[in-house]
Amino acid sequence: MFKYFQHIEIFDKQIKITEITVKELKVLLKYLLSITTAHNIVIDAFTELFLQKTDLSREDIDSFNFIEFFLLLFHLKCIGSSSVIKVETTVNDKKASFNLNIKTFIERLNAIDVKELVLQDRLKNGIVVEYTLPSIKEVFEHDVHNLPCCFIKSISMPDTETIHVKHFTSNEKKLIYNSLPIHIALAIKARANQVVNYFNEINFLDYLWEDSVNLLFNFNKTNLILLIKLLFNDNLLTLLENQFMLARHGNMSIDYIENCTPGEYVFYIEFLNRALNPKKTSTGNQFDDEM
Amino acid sequence: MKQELTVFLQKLNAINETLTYNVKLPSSNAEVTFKFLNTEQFNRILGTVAISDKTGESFNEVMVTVLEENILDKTISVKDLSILDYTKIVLETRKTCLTDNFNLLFTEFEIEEQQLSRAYANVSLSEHLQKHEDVVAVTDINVVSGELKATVSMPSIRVHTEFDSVVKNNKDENTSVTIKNFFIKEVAKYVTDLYLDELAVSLIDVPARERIEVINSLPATLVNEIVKNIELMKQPLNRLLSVAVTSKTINNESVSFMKELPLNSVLFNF
Repeated sequence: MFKYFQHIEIFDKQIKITEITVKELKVLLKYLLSITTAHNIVIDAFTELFLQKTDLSREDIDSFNFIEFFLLLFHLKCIGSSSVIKVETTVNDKKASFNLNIKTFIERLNAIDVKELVLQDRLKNGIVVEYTLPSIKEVFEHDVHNLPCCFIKSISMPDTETIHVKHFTSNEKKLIYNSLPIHIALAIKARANQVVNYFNEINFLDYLWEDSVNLLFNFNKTNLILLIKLLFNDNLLTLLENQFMLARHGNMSIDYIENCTPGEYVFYIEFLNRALNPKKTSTGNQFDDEM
Repeated sequence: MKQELTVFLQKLNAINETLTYNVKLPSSNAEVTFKFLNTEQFNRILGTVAISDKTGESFNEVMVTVLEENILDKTISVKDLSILDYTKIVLETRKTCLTDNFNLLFTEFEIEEQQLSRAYANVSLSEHLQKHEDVVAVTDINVVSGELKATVSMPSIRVHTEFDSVVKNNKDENTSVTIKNFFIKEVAKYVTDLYLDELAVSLIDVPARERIEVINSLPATLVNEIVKNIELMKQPLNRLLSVAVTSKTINNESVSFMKELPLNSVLFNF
């Protein structure tokens, strides 16, 4: 099928990416309703979507660390619809609205020097630990006590083959971490804390005028869930209602609407609005910011 | 389990066996060897901080289990070691497996009363333990009052924990007055044998509740004598747990006072 695509680059990896459709957005919104309780299912859903929308293999996607996951997500959001998200919030008891530009998020993450973060430690008893950044699934799966175990890429000991922990299951990683002598585990924890503290400093909204408004990119699950929900903050009910309006008043088939990109869909809604309310000016939809 | 993981864990276990530290027991001067804590044991110890008074295992129960797992000479029963020996082992374990430095927190009262500029003092555990290297246990003492005689001994950690749990779990109205009497509980912990004329009663294997009842029925003169000797017996333990801390006041003056090291999960939280 003839499709529009773009090439993006995520940390030296060339990826071919195509637009998502309204139908896919609808499915995604359904999954996102349960992200706080079933985050693993939602992450699996994103994996399936990435498989369909990129030329990446499942193995590629599974090996992505959480920065790469978010970069891919940001690109997917930008290519299918607007790179600008309108957000309303309350600052000092007053309502405030501002535009978030996802492209600045991408620039921010691209600027991270991952090699500076994932080093190697030579610890006591000849134990050498090589580090990596955890995947989004691992960040969601582990509690604070066990989080350091997903920073381990490999461990080697004298007279033993290097063990590559990265591809082990969460339980196997926990088993290794829990069996380590405490001074080795504490050294790993200290290194992991260093990385965690680095990310705790990243505030996507630090370019805004208001200090109290922040969107942190740290290992706090609530923050990461908020970030994902912010990217896809469309209301499922409104989307269904708009589909109905387009079909009824715009004589468009549901099939056609569902195969549009979310960006195109916003255009049609805007046009329908103008057609039904010719005296009213633009409703200030997302597409105005893009035009 | 993956083959490479099994091999790795076996190898790790072999390394763990070689990572050991020795503790000289104050009661016998004997040296006992322990393996280092592993992450799982460390988390178990830290987990006792969230345990309420009436549920779950206390710090001492978890610590004894961990030390039983790590002691190399399995003929030694950790739970039957005296609380003085146990205290020394816990402090040595904290120092060797974690860090030498311990941040001893001041209470709000201390901060206000002494006008301290910091919320904690740095304590070097190795310096503290070295300073008290000579701490030895006081041997059993026989206390006499009239025709009654009692033997006062340093309780084991098993007895200590059992008495604590009796107090926590007590719901029996009839004995509540006795149980609530913390003073009698402390006395009962230390009395192991009672003698009246030719009659000798060993309390070692008697349940804590019954021991408390027995002590409650002893004449006050004997109990007073027992208390005096308990104080004497506790001196080495108090020395081992007391630390002189120096800090600065908000006026930048030095102030020194004695504080007790916490024998709970706080000691391992750093």
